[in-house]
Amino acid sequence: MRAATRRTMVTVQKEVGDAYVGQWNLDPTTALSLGVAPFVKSREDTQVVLRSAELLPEGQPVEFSGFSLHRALRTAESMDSRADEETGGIRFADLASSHPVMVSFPPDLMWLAHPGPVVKFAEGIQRILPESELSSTPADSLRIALAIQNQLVASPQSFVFWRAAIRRDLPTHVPLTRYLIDFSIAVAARARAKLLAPMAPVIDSRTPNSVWLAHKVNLAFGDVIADRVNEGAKAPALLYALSFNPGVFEADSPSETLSTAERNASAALQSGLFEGIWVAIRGLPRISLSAGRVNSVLRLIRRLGVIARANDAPLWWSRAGLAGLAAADLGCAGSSFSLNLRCDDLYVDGGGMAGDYTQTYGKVLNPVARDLWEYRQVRRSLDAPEPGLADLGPCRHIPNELELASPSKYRVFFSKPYNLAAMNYLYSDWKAHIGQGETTPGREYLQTFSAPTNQWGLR
Amino acid sequence: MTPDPLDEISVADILGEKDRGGEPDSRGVRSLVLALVRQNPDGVTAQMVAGSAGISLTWAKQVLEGLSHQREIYSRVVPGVRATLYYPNGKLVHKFLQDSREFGEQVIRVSVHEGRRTNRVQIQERKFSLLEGEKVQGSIFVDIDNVEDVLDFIREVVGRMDRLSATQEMEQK
Repeated sequence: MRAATRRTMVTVQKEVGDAYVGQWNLDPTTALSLGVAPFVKSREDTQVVLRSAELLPEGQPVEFSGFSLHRALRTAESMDSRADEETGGIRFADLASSHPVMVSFPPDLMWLAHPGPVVKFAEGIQRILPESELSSTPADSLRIALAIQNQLVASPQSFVFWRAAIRRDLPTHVPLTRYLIDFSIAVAARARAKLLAPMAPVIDSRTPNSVWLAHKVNLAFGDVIADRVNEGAKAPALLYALSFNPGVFEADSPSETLSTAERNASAALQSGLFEGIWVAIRGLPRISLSAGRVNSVLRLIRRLGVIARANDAPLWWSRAGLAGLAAADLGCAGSSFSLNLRCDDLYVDGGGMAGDYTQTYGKVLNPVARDLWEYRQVRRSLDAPEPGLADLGPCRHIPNELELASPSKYRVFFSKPYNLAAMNYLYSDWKAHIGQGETTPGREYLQTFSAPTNQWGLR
Repeated sequence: MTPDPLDEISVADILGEKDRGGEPDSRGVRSLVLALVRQNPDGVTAQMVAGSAGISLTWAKQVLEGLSHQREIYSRVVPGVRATLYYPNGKLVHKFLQDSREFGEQVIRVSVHEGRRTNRVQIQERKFSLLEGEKVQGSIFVDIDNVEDVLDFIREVVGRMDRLSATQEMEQK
């Protein structure tokens, strides 16, 4: 493994047990506040963070899905080109300069390979590759995008894609894997990202060697980034990416696959090629139903947290949602949450939502009632003596008539901004408890939550 | 038990480094072309770049034009030579002597380059747009011996502006 010098460092402000509060110094002028962060997948999410940027505390990062980033940036571009008064939002460049952008790749897109999302991803490849280091011609970029698209769709839920992607069948004699690496770096650069988690394959219990494939893809990213840095070029700080399929987590039983992943992560951090560890776990809603499986996840988080701390690096759990509070107790430096607070797969083929209020309006977190409220509950609460959700101060806790009548307006102007404020409120509360010397405030809070979220607080 | 083909995939396979004329190179074409131009301060043609980098002439021209647009290199049509020659826009003294920082909307890149008489500091203004990413707006070179004097000069002019503002404020009162 190539050796390199780390460029970032975590500084701890307060430490209680495994938990700590701190910041991540990315460069001499950029400090990232560790804690929770919004995860942006869609064009709608982009609108929400740009319009509700005042809800983001100073230094709070924003995690974007690299698969949809080209589409998110198109939305930002169209918002930038209109007057502030019209959109009510800030410009993307201002967001990126005050809130470090992290780009990551949720594992479900390549694993499930649903045609709709894959086609949109391929559009991004075609658009971005010409500006990558490989500077592919537009004709080659189209050919590469189609090759990736066809390979992915032809072999879902397997590793056939990765076996095929290292072949150099294209006239350029460059493997598709190398194009994926260059696409990832170029799309991150386009978003002025300070942090990048590689597009590594998911680790699956039925294919134990997938843990080694994921490791090698991570190292390949590390190799390319190290070259850029050595040439004096700008490059985002790289995280070691570990994505897991749910089958890896058996009830109360640490698997050999997980032990290997931990050892690999430790070696990777020691190489200096990586600035931290990034984790994504598929199937959290189902895992939440089993205390034993929750224990296996939290055990992994604790162990990876120890590895990261030993290297003055952070552990980041992507799209953990409320479980991120339990992870914070165990030394997980940061976690992200989807603005609709869902933790299940992102890139599934659409359809079937019309008329389903739960789906179209989404859920909103009531941090005081300790529940995720559906549209009907919000509506009912309007007749109560103290109407609406808990008043958190920085954003409205009562939807207006226009929002109640339109699912998209409800999500963009009410539920998603409220979820953002509610998660920040909870983390701020967690920090206050840590400040008072409590060791597990996250788990104690989650214990009193409605099921199955309460599993993340049980011991 | 059949060996799992995933076992056989190496980092070199993923990067496509094997069998490339025995010269493993995980750099991209852009970096490779930039390095070639920087290694040839007397200028190179697109054809020479295409041959050295192992890419087509059209592709080489596209990358060279992109680098010219970003002001990493510049081109000149030399009388008597039919092709365009591309030159490095200064040669970095060391990779660590190049850094960029954001000042609001502006991104300023400062780098130290080799010069004929003395090393020179390049100050480059870059701007970010969602349409084009980060692009160079313009740049100046200052001989390293003159950096302090130029900084004093800037302070002097900015000082004059402060005095002017103070005078205007008094006049308004």
